[in-house]
Amino acid sequence: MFIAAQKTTILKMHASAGQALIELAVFGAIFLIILSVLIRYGIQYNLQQKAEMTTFRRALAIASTADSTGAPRGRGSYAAMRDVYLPDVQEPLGSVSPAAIGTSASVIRDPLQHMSTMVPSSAYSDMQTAVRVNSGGATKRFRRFKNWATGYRIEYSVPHLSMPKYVEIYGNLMVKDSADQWTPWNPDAEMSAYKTICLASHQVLRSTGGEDGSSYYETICDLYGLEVRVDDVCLADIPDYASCYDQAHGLVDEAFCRDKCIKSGQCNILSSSAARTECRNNCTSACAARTNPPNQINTTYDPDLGGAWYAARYESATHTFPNGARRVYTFPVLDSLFGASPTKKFGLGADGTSRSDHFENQTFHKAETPAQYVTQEAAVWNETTYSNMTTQENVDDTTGLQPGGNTPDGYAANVGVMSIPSEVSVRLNQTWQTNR
Amino acid sequence: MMIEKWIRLENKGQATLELTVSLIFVMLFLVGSIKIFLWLNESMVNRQVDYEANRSYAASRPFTQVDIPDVVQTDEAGLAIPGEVLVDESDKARYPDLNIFESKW
Repeated sequence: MFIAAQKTTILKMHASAGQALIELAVFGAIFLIILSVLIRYGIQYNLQQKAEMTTFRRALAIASTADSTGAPRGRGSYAAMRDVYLPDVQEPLGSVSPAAIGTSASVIRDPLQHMSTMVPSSAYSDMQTAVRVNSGGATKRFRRFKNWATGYRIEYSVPHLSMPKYVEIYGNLMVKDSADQWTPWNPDAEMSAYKTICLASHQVLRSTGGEDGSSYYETICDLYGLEVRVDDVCLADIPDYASCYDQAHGLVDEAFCRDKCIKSGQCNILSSSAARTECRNNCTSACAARTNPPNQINTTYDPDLGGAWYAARYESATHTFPNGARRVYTFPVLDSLFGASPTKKFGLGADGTSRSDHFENQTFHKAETPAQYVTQEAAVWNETTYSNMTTQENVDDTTGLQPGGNTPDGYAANVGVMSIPSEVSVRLNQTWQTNR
Repeated sequence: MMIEKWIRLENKGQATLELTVSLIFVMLFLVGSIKIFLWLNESMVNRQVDYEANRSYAASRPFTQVDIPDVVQTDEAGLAIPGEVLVDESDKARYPDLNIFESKW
């Protein structure tokens, strides 16, 4: 009896032995599977990322090549497939299994996208977007129109002290250097580096240094006049009224210019009080300067100086708004460029006119034999849709001079509508055969 | 009675013992996986940063006349297309080999 009870106890003890190990073996296995799956995916993503990056760069490299004639290819694709071995828990002993890392990339790189106004030899402005209009069937290529985001014009005798205002209004500027070449404006450079004329000077009596005490007057220039090339959004092929109005407003309204300068320079959120004051003072002094007219005191455009013609003859009146009185500016020349109100729509018109030529070439044959009855019909059907593209007709060359006879109204009238045909041709050929 | 007591005493702490032994392996697995994830994280982040750093350079290269071969083969530096800009992953400080026994952190 005693021995039997002892055996039972021993059996019970043995039955529960290793329970923790078994539990761990069961749950641990699940835990390890999850961990291994995570590791597999991690390694796979690492390889996938590397493959995607490499593939894109290869496609970009192909798109950046030129063919044997030197013409940019502009487009490139690259696809790569690689078999790798990754740890896999489903395999015996958790060994590896093959997995395919496949990537592909396609790049279109526009050869004109790097044309810059800062490169004088390039065309007159940055290209921002291109409009492509389908022009024809199989043999005709897409037709392409460049939409220059800014045009440029040249201002003469620009006082060098006004240059901060030009920078504030127009951004980067090109200036004629002493070798008569366009060069980026550098405020820290010596005036002798640029092509200048003297706008204001004073004379100083100097001694020749000789014993006779003779002297001469030396002319010292106080104000230099520069030849400046201005990138102007208002001269874009497809200008935008709001940004053009803003620019004209900044030229003639000192307070608006200053507010905009403080906002864009983030003067009010600079960390130190001294920096905030300096930033605001810079804005005040820059905007107080005068550009070639029209400016804050002169509304007349001077063709010899070449100012912002679209701001000519501007008017201002004080209006009372809920938050106070403000001067409101109107620009008659700008309004006439955009066709007053409602504003003229520059760009590709959505409303096209279409003309269809139905069955321009139609033939019909009928053949009847004792065995069969055959009809053959051939027709060509054409339809042409004309879309209108409204642009300012600037000269697309390095002179940058707009046609328009040197008057603001002439420039504002320099708007053209291009009619772009888009042809669709359908060819129909059918034969019917009826056996008798 | 004596034997029963002796057996009970012998089996005491067995679960703890088993857990101790198995935990060593569990911890080894855990540490190993953490090392793998750290390695993954480092390579992926560094690769992203490096590719972003030379992105504008890669995309603004001049259009050069290049004959793209029918069979593209990578050279010793891993480059295949003439003029391509890839990230050099031979720098072991930024792209370390996977070694779970080496401690860097």
